[in-house]
Amino acid sequence: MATRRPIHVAVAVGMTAGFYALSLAGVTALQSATEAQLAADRAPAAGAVAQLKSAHDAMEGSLARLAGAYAKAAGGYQAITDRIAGHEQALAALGQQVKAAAGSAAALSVPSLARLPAVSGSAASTGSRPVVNACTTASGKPC
Amino acid sequence: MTADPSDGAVQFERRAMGSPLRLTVVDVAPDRAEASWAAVSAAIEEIEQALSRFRPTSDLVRLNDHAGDPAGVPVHPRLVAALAAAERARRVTGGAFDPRILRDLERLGYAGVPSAGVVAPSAPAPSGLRAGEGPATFEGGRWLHCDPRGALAAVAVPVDLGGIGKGLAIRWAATVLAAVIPEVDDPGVGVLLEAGGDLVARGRAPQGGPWMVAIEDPGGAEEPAIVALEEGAICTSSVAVHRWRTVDGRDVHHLLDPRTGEPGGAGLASVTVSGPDPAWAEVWSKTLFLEGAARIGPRARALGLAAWWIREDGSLEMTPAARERTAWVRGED
Repeated sequence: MATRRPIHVAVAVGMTAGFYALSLAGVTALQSATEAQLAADRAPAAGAVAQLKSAHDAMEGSLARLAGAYAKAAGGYQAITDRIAGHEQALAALGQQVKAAAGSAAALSVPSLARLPAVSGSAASTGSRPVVNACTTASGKPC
Repeated sequence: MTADPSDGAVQFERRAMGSPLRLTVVDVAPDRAEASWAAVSAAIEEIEQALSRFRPTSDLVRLNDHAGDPAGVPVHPRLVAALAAAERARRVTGGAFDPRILRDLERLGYAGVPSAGVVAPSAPAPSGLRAGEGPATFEGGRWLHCDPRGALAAVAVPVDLGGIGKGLAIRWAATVLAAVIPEVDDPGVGVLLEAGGDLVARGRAPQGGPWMVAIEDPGGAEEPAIVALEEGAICTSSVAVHRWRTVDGRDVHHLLDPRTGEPGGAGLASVTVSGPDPAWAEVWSKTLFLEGAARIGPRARALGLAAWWIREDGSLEMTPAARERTAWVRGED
């Protein structure tokens, strides 16, 4: 009797392998299509992200410039503060001097109001010919 | 004496030093005014007797008669003081003022009184030298020896005190006046002493305020300016009175330049100076006159003097200090 070979096993294995391969191929194809769709779906978002990154870079540059300007303004403010401090010291010293002068004036009993003497109209250079009292005449004749 | 009760002024007048001597006092009791005039008259008489070269008996004439004698002669202390002042003025002015001009004055025929017509020039001085040259000084280079304590003086050559003598006279008379009227600085009181155009004033004028002094136009026109004199002196050097023509046809006057021995002040008719002291006002008016019309302005301004000058064409000029004291100027009102 002839020995029967287990071809059906091989066929079965082959068919199983083929089925598996087909299934795998199908699954791979499906997955690839899905991923392609996903990639296509994600493409606008990536552009938006790139645009956002560019905007972020620009904003970072602006912030750097603002930081520089702020530092400069802070330096100027410090200088002004120093000057104000100097002026305040000078004002304080002047205040002390005024206080001392006021004290001296009080001690001297300086009047708060001093009346000037009345000026005669004939003493001023008014432009009108004044009354003459004497002449420089060498002969001594009256004016 | 003349009095005007309306303004409280009293005026006295007589002749002295070759010209009218006037005293005006304001708001002083009549008896005190009379006393002040008597004191001033006596002081002027005493000073004139010491300083005048036109009085044959004066101390100055006697001193000039002994010129060149280093032993000197006793003279009045006023003359010693006047000679010392004249020597100081000579040094201060760099020789522009010098009392050693008498021989040149006499050579030109100056007699000390208003001159008219032709005057024959006298012979040149025996030495034939001008002031400041050679025998015009004693040995050692000085022309004057003074001893104020002994009232002794000696001059190398005859001298003429002229304007400075008159200035000193009213300076000293004003001092006497202040002693007689001590209230001269009180409000309302005033005094004015005049001698031939030179004057000193203190206090208020009769109309109130400063004394108003008109600057004379030597040409006879209206006064070109009026000066408000608060206190101090005004003196004038003018050729309006003392000028004449010599027989050789030269028009000359009595304001001689000691450096040349000839009349100076080309282009000028008169110079007036105001200052605190009449003697120095006299000195400066004469030295400025000798600068002449071309140089007087810069010189007067450089010295800071209150000076007015009238050119021969009648035009008036003045320094900034003078303008401050000028109350009125002809043609500006």
